[in-house]
Amino acid sequence: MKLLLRKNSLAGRSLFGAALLALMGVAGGGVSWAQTPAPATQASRDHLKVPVELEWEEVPGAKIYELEFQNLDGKSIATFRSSSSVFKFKFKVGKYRVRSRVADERKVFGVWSDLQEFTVKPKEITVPENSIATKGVIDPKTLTGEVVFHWGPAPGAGQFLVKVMNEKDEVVKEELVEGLSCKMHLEAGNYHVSVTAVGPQGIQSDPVNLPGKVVIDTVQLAKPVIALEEVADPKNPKTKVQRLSQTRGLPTVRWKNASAIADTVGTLEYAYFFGEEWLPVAEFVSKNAKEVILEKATKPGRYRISAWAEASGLKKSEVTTYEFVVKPTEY
Amino acid sequence: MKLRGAVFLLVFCALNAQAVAEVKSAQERENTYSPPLLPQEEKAAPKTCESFSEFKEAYEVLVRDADLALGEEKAARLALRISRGCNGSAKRFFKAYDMMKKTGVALTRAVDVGLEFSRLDDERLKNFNEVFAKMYLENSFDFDFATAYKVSFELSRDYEGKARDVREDFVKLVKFCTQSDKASLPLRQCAELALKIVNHTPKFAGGLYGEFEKFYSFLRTDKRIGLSVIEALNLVPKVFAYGPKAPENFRKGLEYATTSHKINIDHTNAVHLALNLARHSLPLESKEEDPHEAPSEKK
Repeated sequence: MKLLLRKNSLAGRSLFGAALLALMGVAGGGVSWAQTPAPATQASRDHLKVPVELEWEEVPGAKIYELEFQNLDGKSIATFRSSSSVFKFKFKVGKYRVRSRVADERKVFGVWSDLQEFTVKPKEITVPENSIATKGVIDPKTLTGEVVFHWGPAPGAGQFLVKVMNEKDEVVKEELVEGLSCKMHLEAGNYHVSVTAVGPQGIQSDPVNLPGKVVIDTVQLAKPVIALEEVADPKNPKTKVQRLSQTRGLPTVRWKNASAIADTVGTLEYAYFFGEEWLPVAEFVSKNAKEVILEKATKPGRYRISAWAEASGLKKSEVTTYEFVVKPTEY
Repeated sequence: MKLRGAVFLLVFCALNAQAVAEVKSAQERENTYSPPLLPQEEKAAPKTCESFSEFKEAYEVLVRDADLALGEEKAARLALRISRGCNGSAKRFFKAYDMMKKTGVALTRAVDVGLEFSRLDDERLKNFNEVFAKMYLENSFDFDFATAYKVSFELSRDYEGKARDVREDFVKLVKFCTQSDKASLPLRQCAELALKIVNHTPKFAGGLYGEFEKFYSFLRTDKRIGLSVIEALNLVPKVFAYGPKAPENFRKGLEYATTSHKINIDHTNAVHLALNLARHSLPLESKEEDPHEAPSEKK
């Protein structure tokens, strides 16, 4: 004979079951708790109470089943008697102790079983459609993308623990919130999210995974733009020509709208006239700088600047190239 | 000892060097529009070359050139090729080579340019150096490398005529057309016009600048023509194409057509007549048909 005391988070249920079984003179067996779904209206009326259903296998000869629930201080908070093998009741989320006994047809009760501690957990959240809202790309200024998670109410829960896990199942972000939504800023990547309902004393429901993945793409940085100097064409003063600025006679690269979040990285190469190969001359990193003086561009010949924007968490920009010639001043 | 070994190896490339040297000589091109100085029967004594001095001079500099880093054998081979250009070839080589190297030309190409000028005369090298410097330097015409390089070769190595004439014409024309009290043209336009005009320098013994100044002055000051600076400068090469007599024939024809009572034509036709007369300043070539005559019927 086996008593099934169904509630999914009942701690020490085997002892409780064992106690009852001992009472009935039956060895072995176990107990379990089942938390049946409750209608949303009921949950909203009394959201801190969680419906609990207790069911067990009938004991031959037993006419009355009695269960007494106590809080952890030993104070009795409820006693149920039933001739059937099912109890339905509502309890607040919390930790309790329970003991049981049965009476025969003479209404003579046996001894109480040992006390068994169990926990009533909040219900799991419900998941609405479109529970994840995001643009799916990061903001280049913050290097993160905004994501908003939504979920439905969970009886017994006053808070919700939102966990964001990366592709390796490592928790990258965790937040305890009180409402039914949560806004987070995540770096570029693929994530999945679980929401756990949390009741009084931090008692948690089982986690529920929000459907689908959260995909936050990185964005490509804007290509650096060289601000060229416009001067009258010495060969034709009516027209203008563009060229690199000069600093103490040295070619100088000035950036248009230098990025505050990215470094401008680049190379300076040299090629001979009629030469096919570009030879590296210098590399530069311009951190928030608006200009780079090309101090090594002194030898006459052809030069090529290749520059791009770089920032952690962002895609490199396309490469900007610019070629110029350094002429001798005399022969 | 090493040098001796290298020279021994050079015997094998001497023939090759000779083959490369099969280009029209500077003297041949200098004489394109000038009569031979000596009668055919009086042959001048054959010119001799101080080839060893040229070889030695070239070798000793080449072997020390850290950029080229030729080593003795290659330096000797190159010096031998340079010495093929006869007297002054080593100096010409280095003047052209150094200029190209200083410009940023690949060393192999700079050597090629040096070799080309080592085999030409000093005047052509001077044309190359002066025209290139004028065309390329930022404080001068500031042309791009490709244009400066091309024009410099056109007015030196490839020029069919007296090198000095074209150099002086080019320099004077550019000065003329950029001077504020003369044509005052933008540099590029001026250089392009000057190049068009100096194409005809070989037709004018001693250069065309003198004739140009006279003709341009006539075009600009003659009220009957009333040409702008650009129109006048564009007309010059069209007339000068027909040789040294063409400007005069143009001028006389125009004056006659516009002033004589014996001919009564309007201004446009007068200019057409003058242009045709300029064109007729060169004799009709046998194969050339006269567009003013009706084609003869075949019998």
